[in-house]
Amino acid sequence: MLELKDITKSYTPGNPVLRDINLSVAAGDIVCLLGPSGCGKTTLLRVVAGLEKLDSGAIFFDQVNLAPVEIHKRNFGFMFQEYALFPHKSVGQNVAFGLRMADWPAAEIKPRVAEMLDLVDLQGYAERTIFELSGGERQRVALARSLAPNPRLLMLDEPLGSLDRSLREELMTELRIILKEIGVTALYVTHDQEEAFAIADQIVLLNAGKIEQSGPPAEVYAQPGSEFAARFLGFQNLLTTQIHAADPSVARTSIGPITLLQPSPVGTHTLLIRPDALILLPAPQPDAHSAVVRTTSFRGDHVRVQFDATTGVTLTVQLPVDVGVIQTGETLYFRVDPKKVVLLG
Amino acid sequence: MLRRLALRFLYSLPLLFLVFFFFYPLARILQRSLIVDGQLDLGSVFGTLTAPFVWKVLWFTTWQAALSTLCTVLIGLPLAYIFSHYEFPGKTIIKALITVPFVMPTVVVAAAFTTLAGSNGLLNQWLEAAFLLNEPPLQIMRSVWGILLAHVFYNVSVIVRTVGGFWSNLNPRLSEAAQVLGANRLRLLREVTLPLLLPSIVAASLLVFLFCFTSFGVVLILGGLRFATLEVEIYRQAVSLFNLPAAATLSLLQIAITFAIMTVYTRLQARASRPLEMNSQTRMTNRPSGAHEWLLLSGALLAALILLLSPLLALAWRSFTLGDAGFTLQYYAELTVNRRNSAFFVAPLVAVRNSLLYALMTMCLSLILGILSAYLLVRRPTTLPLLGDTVDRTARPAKRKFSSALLDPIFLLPLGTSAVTLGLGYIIAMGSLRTSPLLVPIAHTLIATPFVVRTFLPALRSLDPRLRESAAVMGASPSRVWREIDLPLLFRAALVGAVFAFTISLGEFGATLLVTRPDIPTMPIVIFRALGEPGLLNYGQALAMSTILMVVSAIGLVIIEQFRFGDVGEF
Repeated sequence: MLELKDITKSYTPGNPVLRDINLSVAAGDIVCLLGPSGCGKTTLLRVVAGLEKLDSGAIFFDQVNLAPVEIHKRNFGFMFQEYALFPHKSVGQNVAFGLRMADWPAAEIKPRVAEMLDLVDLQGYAERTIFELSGGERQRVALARSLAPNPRLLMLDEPLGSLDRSLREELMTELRIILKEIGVTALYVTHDQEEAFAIADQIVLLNAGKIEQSGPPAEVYAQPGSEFAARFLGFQNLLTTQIHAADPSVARTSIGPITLLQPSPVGTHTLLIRPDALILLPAPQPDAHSAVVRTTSFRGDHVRVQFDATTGVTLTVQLPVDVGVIQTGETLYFRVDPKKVVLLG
Repeated sequence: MLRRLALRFLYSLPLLFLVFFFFYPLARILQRSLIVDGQLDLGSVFGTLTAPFVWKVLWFTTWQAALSTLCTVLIGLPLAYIFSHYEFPGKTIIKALITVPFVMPTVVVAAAFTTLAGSNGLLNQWLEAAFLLNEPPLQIMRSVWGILLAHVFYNVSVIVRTVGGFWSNLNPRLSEAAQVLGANRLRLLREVTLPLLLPSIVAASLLVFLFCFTSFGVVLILGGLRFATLEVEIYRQAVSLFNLPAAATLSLLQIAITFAIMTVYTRLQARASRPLEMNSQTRMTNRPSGAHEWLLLSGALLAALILLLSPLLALAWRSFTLGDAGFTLQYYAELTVNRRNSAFFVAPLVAVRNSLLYALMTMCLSLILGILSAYLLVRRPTTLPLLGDTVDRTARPAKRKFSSALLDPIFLLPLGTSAVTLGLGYIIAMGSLRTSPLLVPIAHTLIATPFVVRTFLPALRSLDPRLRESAAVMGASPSRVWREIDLPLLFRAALVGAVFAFTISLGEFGATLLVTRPDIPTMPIVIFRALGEPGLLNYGQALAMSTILMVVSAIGLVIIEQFRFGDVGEF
């Protein structure tokens, strides 16, 4: 449905914010643009909406090139990070704005507004002013407003960014339900990977203007494509590893050899050890690794432990709560579960 | 204890000053108009107010102010748009140049326009030479258009800066949201931009209307005998016809109208500065894209600069080229000479000295009073410097709000009151003090102090109380806090206020005309006299002195521009 071909964009010459972006979005999909601040994700969104001009490349929607199409004719929806609700209009007038611009007959506008407010769980709010609303309520109004005119594509720019944690958690799942119920195709921008996983059908990871990796959330999480991806997703145990031709199923690291599930390409790689990959051993064993506990931190459903391995590498792992008392300075022996390591590029 | 008493007295000085030098003269005006031969005589008041000539004058004053305001807004809005949306080379300089007219003394403006577009002005001379005409083709200076032009000239910068400042702080996301939702340019303007901009436009228009309504020097000099605003009529009644009761009654009318306008204005100002969106973003300005936009932009700016600068340049040019001798400095040289038959009673340079002295006095006095007033007007609970006590946050907030809500327009009142009325009040009220030369700086102070307040108050309001609190927690005494925290931040505002006061005093005309002693004239007075006298020498000297005044005022503006904070809520 939406095709981005070789998109390049810079704000200042010589400093491209987007570099050769190629992306396909299928109808009805929720695609999440994920990445750290400054990676270009908001710019990409704005370029699709027509709020910024491209330097080169083309955007196709339904096979139609969007270049000559003006912003107000694209029939897209856009939810801004700070909502951008019209302060001089009521909630109902805000939601009705797009409908009026599309010249809907007055008789149809009122029920549609009610329907939209119903959808976002703000029944009866039509007469209120913007100033009376809480942050979460404003976000819902912004959503209702952008969905009301039935946009062909909805763009959301960090819509949960300014909400507190518990509200964000609640709205994350609700947002996906609403979007799926309407069936609208959506481009969603965020820097929070948890949010991305909760909402997206497809994740597109952006790094300094380039697409680093894309795929369904489970796949991206299971198989991060690069060290950047792994770090961004929150993984911390990234070790440099060598694979020798003599033994392609063993990854040699600074904490010792780690068995891999299958033979892998020879050379230098980065190895990701998942936080739950460690199997604690009660007593030292010949092929076990050892490490000294540096810090422990109770996290509710797990214990977070930082190890200093023999060669000065620090591992951060999650151990189940029933692991018992672990002292700082204690030496622990463990094996690494081969199913829970990932060889990165 | 005594210290506190002394300090409380210090803080009440502005009010005392206002009472004695403003309200008291006004009260005497009231008395003079209402009480004839020791008895309350409303009849003469009604008589004056219902006289047909009064209604004619009032009508003229109103419609010319309204028309001037309309023209100013129509010219100012596109310029405000340009300045708030675009970035281009020379932007700061051009903005300063557009503001130059605002600080120009009225005599300078009148002289400048006459030089440019009068019957013997430069434009007419060129047109006559170019088209071989016998009669000067441009007669605008004889019509009301001359006055209107001068008003637009003065006030465009007010629109550009206040509306422009507001516009550039309008959240750009709002218009983006509207566009994405399907609004084309026209609907965007109608549905989002104009409604949000309206409070600011109305407030700025009101201010411009007020300035045009109380216009004196421009109408007196350019209007000749045909046109008279209320101000000019007051002057005529007082000085030419010696009809003080009539002048006093008209003054009351003037005060009532301007007070009404000022009250509406301050209310609107407060509303316009309320944050519209909880987190507003300063608009990012872009360079114009494409030849089309560049062309429009440069065209508009060029036209604006021509309108606003050509009269002043014409003035300067003429001061060097008057007569047939080509480029000459003779008129400037004449300023140092005191010819026996000259229109000036004193050597013109003496007038320069007088003006400078008065300006310095005004500057000091209005700075003191203005800063004290600003501290009184700040609505947030604040520590009055040196007094050490914080205004009680818990007790009677309603009362505090009411008093500061009332004080605000009261302190602004001299700004809106006609300078002529003020002068008149002094003539009536000051008794033997009437001939004191000190009345001039006092009148100037009254007129200049509101500008100091309006400059200082926003700076004061922007002081974060948390800075002060954290300093106090870290052990700084109240006076130390004031010295270390407030002072550096406020120094700039004080500097701007001081230069404002100085420049205003230099160019003040209306009140000075009534109050000055003939032997201690100021530059504007001297120029005014010379403009009215025949002879090339007198006229040339008037032009020369006007040019000097113009340059000094422009320098004052440059200093103001350098040190001023931000644009929003200037007036």
